Amino acid sequence: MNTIQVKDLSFSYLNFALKKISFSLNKKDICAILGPNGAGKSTLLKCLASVLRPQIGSIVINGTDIANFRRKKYSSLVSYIPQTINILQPFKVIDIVVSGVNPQLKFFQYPSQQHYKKAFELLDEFNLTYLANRHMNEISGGELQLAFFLRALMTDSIIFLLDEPTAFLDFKNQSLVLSTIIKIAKEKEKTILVSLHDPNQVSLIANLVLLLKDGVMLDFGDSNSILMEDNLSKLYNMRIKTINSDKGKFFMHQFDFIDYEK
Amino acid sequence: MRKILIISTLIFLIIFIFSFYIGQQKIGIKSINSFIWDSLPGRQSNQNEDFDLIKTILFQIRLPRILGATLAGLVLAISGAILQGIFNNPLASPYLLGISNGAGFAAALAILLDLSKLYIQLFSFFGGILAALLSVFLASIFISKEKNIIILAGVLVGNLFAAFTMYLKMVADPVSKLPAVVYWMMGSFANTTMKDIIYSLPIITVSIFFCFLLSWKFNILSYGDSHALSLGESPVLLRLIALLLTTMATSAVISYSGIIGWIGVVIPQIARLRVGPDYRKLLPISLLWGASFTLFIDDVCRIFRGYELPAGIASAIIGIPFVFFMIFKRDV
Repeated sequence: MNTIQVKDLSFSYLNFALKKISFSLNKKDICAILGPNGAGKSTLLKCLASVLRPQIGSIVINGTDIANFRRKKYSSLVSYIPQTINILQPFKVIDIVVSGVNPQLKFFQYPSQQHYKKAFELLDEFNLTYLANRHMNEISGGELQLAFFLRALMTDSIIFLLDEPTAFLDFKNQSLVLSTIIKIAKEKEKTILVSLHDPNQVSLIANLVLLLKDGVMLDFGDSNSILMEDNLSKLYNMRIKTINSDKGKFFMHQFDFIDYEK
Repeated sequence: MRKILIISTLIFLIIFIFSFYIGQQKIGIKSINSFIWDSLPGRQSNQNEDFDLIKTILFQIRLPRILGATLAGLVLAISGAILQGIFNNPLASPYLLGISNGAGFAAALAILLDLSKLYIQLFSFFGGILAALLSVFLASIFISKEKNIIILAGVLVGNLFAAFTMYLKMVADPVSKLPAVVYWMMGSFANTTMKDIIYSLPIITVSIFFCFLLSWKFNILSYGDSHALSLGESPVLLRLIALLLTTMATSAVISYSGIIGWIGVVIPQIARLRVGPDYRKLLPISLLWGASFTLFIDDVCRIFRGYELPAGIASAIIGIPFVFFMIFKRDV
């Protein structure tokens, strides 16, 4: 049984549509969504997060169709981390992490001392204790993402949906975020679906890749077989050069701007 | 946090007790002190004629006014704090949905119709709620779940009622009616009676009680809509609940005090600067500071009673320098 199975998922806005997306993921999978701007990566993640309601198709989690879940129950299974530059109000990091427990709380219930204890343990486990009492506006973009990851770990959901977690980050923070994603998938046995813009980052962390363009899924499968020069060139409509090394495959821009399909 | 809570409570209590000592009727501090001393249980009181007079002044005249200012201050500050956070808008006030203009129009209408004080209060209470309902209804026509649509709807509805009110002012009898309308609009606790307090207290208590119960959910909502959704909360539902609670409480206050502007915007701002956006801290501090500040404003009004200074005006005159001080003090 797959952890998450998506079948024929379709969703349309006024001038954009996701068409018949189908794929399935298992425990410890890291699947990257790769595609140009406006391909529908965020829309797909929002559909899976139940922020948007797909008009057609089914999403089955651990054998149960999500149509049978209430929002609270669903959000305890699936954690969605939207593209966020920052939360507008300066909450403390520890409070953000603790808020992951919200799906388990009753309507009038506050998080308890135990919940705070668990949140501190999580911070400790990821060597982030120093962040606990910092405010959200005082930390780096990378630390912000880590705080959201820990919030999802606090929920203890099984599927993490991450929308461009490395956007706007410097080189070091990118590596911090990427390595944490791997750690979460392998050690915490989560299923991760992450949208990324850099094929190099994808080849570093993902074992599965979903190529998305204009709302259509071009391909889905093992990252080694999909991350090919011709696939990526078609996806981005540009020439891409592959460099093979003993550390893996790397992709480079080729700056001649020739339209590849012509 | 504990320290600031204790200090704020002490300041509130001091202002609250101090407020009994001032007023139009000059009663010496000594006679009030001895009155309190005499009324302590177990004391053989030497009741003279002053005793009853002081009792009447303190309980029939001063107490309702003090309670009225306290309730108004805490309601406006808490409502403002909640709405500023969940709409992520520092200018949001309890009057966000056009409540003040709706209540003002209805009160003016009742005054023009020569209705009694009770009806003026009922009219203004339901006028505020009507304006809020109209705003929410207008916003829901644009099916968009974008939260700022509701602010826009509130501005539109508010201006509509403001236009109606202007018309009423134009046709109002300038000698017998207009001053009453204008005075009502400026907001004052001078005519607050014990009855007003008793009528509005249940609504205020219930609303504020639920606001406190929901502080944690309001935190979640402050993270932004998509974060709230991913944490299992419906932002639309939570916002409607917040608007319902603050509208009920604010309308109940407006019905006896008139429109006291400004407290609901600024007190929560200052409190937020001091204790941050977490509602579990922000609400108690806003409550104490809102109540203390409004009581203080009303004390000033009572000291300068000869000048007929309404609380709505005094709150701006005293408040603006006060706020500048608070903000600059923080920056230095």
